[in-house]
Amino acid sequence: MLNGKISSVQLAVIMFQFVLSSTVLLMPSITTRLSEKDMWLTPLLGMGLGFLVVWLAYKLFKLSPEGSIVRLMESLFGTFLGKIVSILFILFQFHIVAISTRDYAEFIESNFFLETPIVVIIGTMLILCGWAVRRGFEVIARTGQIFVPIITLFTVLILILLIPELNPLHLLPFMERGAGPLLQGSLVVDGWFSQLLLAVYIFPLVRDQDNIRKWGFWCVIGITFVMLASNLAVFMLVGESAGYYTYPVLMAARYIAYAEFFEHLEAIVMMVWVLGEYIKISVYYYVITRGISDTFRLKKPEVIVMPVGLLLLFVCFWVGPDFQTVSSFIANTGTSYILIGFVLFPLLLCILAVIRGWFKGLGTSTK
Amino acid sequence: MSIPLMMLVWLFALGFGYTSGSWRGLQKRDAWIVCTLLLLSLALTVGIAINPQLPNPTEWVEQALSPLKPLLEPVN
Amino acid sequence: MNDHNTPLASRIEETQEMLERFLNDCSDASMYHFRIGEQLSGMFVFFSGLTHEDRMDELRQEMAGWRFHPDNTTFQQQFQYKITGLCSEEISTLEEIIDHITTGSVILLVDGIDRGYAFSLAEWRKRAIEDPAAESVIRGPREGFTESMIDNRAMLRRRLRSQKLKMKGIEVGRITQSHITIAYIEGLAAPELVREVEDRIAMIDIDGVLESGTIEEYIEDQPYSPFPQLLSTERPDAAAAGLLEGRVVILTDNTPMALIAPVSLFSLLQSPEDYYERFLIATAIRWLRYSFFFIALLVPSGYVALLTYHHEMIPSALLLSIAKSREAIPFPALMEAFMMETMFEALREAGVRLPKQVGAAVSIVGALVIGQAATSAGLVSSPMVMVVAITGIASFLLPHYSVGISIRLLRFPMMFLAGIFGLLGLLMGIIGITIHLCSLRSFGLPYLSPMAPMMVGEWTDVIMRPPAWLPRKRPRLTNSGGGLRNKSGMHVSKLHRKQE
Repeated sequence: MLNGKISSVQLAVIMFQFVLSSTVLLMPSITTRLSEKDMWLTPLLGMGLGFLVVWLAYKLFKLSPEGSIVRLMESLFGTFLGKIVSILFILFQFHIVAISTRDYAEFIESNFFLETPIVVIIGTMLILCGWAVRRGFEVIARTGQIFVPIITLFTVLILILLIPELNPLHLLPFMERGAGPLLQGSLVVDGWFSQLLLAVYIFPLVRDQDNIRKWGFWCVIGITFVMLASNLAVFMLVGESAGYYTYPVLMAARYIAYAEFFEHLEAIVMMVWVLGEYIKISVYYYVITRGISDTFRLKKPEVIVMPVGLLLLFVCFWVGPDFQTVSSFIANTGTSYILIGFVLFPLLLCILAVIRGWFKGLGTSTK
Repeated sequence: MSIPLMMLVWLFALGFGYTSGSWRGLQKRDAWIVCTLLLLSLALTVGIAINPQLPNPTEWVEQALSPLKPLLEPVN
Repeated sequence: MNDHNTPLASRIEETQEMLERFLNDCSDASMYHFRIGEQLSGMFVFFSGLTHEDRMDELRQEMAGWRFHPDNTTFQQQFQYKITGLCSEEISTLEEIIDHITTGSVILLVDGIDRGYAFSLAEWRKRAIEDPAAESVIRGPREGFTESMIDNRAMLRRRLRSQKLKMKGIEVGRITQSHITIAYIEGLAAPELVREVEDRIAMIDIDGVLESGTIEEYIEDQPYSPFPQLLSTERPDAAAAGLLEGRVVILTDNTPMALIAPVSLFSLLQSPEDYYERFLIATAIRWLRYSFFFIALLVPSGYVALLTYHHEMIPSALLLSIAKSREAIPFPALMEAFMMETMFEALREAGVRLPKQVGAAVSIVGALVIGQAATSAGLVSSPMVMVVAITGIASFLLPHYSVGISIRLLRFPMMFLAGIFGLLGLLMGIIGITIHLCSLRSFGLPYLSPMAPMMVGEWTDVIMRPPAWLPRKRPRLTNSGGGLRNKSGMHVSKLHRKQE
């Protein structure tokens, strides 16, 4: 299950969608609240961290024995402590994906299926993702190759259909409040970009590893571009009130009405988000499964797919008794949390590994 | 999430596990991990059933990282 | 079953006794005594109906006229001298006799010689080569494979006049001992592929093989999948085209359906006619086919989903007219759809088995009675009838029957999902089918190549029907007389073992 090989292009496509899945829907609201008129610039600033994280992931991969970051943790902290660190990291990932999934489920439920119990929405998605994970990452990559063009096409379509309603004057005056709010907004975007670190678990599966950096670069560029476009579109549509809607893109889709025919396209937005979330949750699910499997050296990783899914289902409910807590968490503390976990912690690992490499090098050279 | 639904979920999960057949000949270590995961799920189920407002990691993180909150508050 | 080696006896009476015991109660086996020359007696053993009896008689007459001279060689030795060159094979065991006479040869046994001589006089009534019933085209050859392996092999050999076209024979089936031919072009087909096909067929241990479908079930990668992993075709030109792409063709005796391996979803959506018509038309029709593929799968479920849960997505005018037709219908959309689709499937199955005279009447019955009457009775709504009709037409557009039935089958779970969960259910179904397709392999070839994994060099054949004078990976030539380039066997030689 853990051995299917993919190409670096496939990885880039998957990570592209992985980051964008919830971003396009949630981001405009949060960044508008912080940066107001300059929110459209935030992806450009966030891009820098994107490149950093991709570089960091690659460096960690190179430093890891057998390409597995779990082994790296074990070699840095000793076997037992290393496993503990790995488990903590996995628990962190559990938390993040549970919040993400809960967010998705609440979106679907509150906008389309008010009567369905949330467990059905989360459960069916987890079943599908679990099935894909069980078949191996190459299956996830291939489904990604099919869905990502569709998702991107529809997103672009919605954005294009909005053009008549857009008002560029909303963007002025430029940088009215100075750099501070802009930096705050870009921190939030950084949070989303930092999820690219998970690629470090998938690098061992890539066939043509020399191309990873090139395609990682293009992946970040692509993400930035789509974020930029959607931010611009949303802000030019509604101006600062974007900060008050939880899902501005959904609301923007409601604006579209052509010839009384293409009306009420929110279902398209839902479709785009469902396909995107499927990819995001599948990747997280796979990474968690792989993490557990590597940490405990499992012989048959397939068997834990179902238990992990079941646990994930319940954790989704545990992380927040109601949506309000989760939502406010995402808006503020979530960003710091995710940055600590996906940037600071890996940076620390990297530094420790490099320092240890120096010491080892010193040791051998003096002999 | 209501109790009947949770039981339904467990029924599905156990039913799938039973018919899955990949559990034959499981090594000791793998079996341990599977059991741990299932026990954790069970613990959570029971916990949520008893107390829907169970202390959750989101709260803990919010408390732990509260000094960082001002960084991301809107400036106005 | 017949794996002993019972040697023949020298004396003809003994051999005859052994044969009679072996072939007891086989009343269609004949043993025909006659004299060879003046001194020897011989016996023909054959199954009547499988041999060309006139030629056998000519042979007998010729042999009756042979003269043996008494000299220091025995009569039998003189006979053996005369017979070489006339017979096709010398055989020495009883089991070989059975082997030969069941394929129509005639065995000659001579008193005093412990060998038999086989003459290939096989001829039996077989179907003439006709237009393949299920795969006819407007432009293209009208030959179809028949039940005779010899004819089928000949049709392939005529099209691929090269010694590189290899045809390996295997016999499968304990009792049927059916002849299976594995055909491939050496140098184009990857050796691993050929070996894999051979190995899988050799592993078949079964009483009998009557149709290539049985072989297909035994050798495919995932028998539980609704999608076919081998292409079955009756057309020799389709088989030859597959061979030229580096695929392997499996011919089975007594059935006209040949199997082609490996296969991807996109090859299942292609018809050989695409390549004979002009490329613009062929491209347009190909696109039509792709859209109808999706329509066949998604329209009934989409209709149910939109009508039950997402009324706002339907343009108002359309919504009003649909609502008007559905006003008096007592059933919810899902039930209505399910009933109509099931009815349609039943009609279609019934139509296959109808005698020709009744066929026309039944189509009228189907269209008028069920569609019209049910609508006026208020059982179903006319938009529903439209939907079912469109879906039916869409599934007929698919050139290969096996894919058509997969789609027809998958419609029903999709309808259920759509009826219960609306568009979300539809999406879940689509994701599920996609996951399944992405994990499916046909003899190592990923089922959705060249889309996923992406092989951009091969996209031209999927997105359109590339003109014959457009070679891959070379600069464009406008020479319209250029022949069809041989495609390299790239996509099938990326074969790798199943990951699990």
